[in-house]
Amino acid sequence: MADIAVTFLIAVLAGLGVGSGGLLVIYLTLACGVPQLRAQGINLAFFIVSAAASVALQLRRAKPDAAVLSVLAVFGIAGALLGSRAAGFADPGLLRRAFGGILALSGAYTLIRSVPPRHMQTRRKTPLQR
Amino acid sequence: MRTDRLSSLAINKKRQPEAALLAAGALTAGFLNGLLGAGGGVILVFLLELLYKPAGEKAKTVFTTSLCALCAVSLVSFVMYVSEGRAELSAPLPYLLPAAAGGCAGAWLLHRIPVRALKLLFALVVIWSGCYMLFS
Repeated sequence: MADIAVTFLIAVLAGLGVGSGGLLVIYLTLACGVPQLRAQGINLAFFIVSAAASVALQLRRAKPDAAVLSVLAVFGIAGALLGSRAAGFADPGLLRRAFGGILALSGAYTLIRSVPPRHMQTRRKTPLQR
Repeated sequence: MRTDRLSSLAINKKRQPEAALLAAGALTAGFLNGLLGAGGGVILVFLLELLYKPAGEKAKTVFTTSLCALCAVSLVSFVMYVSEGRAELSAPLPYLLPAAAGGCAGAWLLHRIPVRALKLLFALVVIWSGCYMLFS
């Protein structure tokens, strides 16, 4: 039951554009003790389904350009073929640390993006200034 | 209903450097996706925002483009994982229904709730988890 609730919440975050950032991998490896590679496989299937559901709704409002999407898909798939082949040779401990490093970087990027630029911040008056 | 289209993204000869940058970014994102089972989205969103936000493209169009591309990329990564015996086809089944329901709920909520506080919380959780996995 906890698995279902956690998966639902992570999918909501992904659909909101907040990001899933491999949160399911974190949950499966740290809380459930699932091996890293198996958790990565589950996360991929989870992402395909949650992203497809989100895209189906988003496409009514935002249409991607076919040329750009083709470039991203073709080169992305080529990279995925190389990366998933490399995952078979990589040490699971190294994969886990690499995953952690990418997570920390993507978290820092999200943090920076979610803080508005200083000139956009409205300064509240203090009681003395009112 | 108004539909936003990435009209400024059309690739022609004048935009070959953009296309090359997109290709390199997509290759890197795909490699990370296959290697780590996640992580390509940040690169694609960063790249698309860098190239097209100044031209006035909206965040939701950039987000939808990266999600579409990552769906295809993740599908290929997952097929590779299954074909090479690193993942089982049945293992993700219990997670698929809540994933679809959550994805729809998130897309529905997208234009209805402020997400800045959620992003901050998400970023802090991800940074903590990443550091934990990196150093533990």
